[in-house]
Amino acid sequence: MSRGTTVAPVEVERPVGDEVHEPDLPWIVIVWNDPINLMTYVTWVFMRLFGYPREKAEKLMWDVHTKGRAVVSSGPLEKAEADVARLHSHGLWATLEKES
Amino acid sequence: MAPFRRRKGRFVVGLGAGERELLTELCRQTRDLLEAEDPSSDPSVARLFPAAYKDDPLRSLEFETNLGRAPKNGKLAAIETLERTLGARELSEEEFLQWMGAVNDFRLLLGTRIEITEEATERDYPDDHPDHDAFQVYVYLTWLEDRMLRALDAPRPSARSVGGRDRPEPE
Repeated sequence: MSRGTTVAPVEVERPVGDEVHEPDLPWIVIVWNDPINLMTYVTWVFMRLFGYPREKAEKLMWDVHTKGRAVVSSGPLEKAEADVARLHSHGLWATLEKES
Repeated sequence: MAPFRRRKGRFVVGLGAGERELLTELCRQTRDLLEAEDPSSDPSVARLFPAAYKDDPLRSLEFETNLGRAPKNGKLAAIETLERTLGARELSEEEFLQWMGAVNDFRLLLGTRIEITEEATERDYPDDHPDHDAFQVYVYLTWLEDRMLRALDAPRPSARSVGGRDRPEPE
């Protein structure tokens, strides 16, 4: 993140532990394949919830179906959790995790 | 008669008495399941409320706690709408989407209970199979949801094997 006013790099002593960078890492939302939800339904949910065009929604649906999972959205923790809740309310099996 | 037809932003319903009876019964059973004291002990109910974090039960629990009763209330509201409007000849889009949500939940519950697979066919649930009737209902619900998606003009990437072209008879 840049504020645009710092001229020289500031030396910062790093605290021990890896939690320092946690807020900067985006979270990803994953939809997992399941034997029940219809392919048509999954495509429709992606279009409706995320406003994705048909091509993108279908590509994600096929990834879920053939590869077993697909990353369908990403962003800050709050957004990722909200997306997971919306996918759950539509019956999709979704989880979130930190991007690696 | 087509089960659902879109007309001027509304949805015309063409369900038979047997179909409405079946849906009424599924509403009742699902509400009982959702309102049971400890629904999470039932794996099919648990399928409706998946963990948000794959390998982090504590964080999943926190996520669940933050949402409170909202997820369950949403599903109960869809069931209430379906029950209340089952006799209607026409539905608003909002009501129609609630119908589809409820029907999808019925399929998730039933499919999980009979341990459905992607390749399942009638041969896996013969007449003498204990889940034969449940599978017939599942096939009917699959067909019904497919028709709902058609009425919504959802894109059709491919056809699924379960739920053929002919209207299956609800038991």
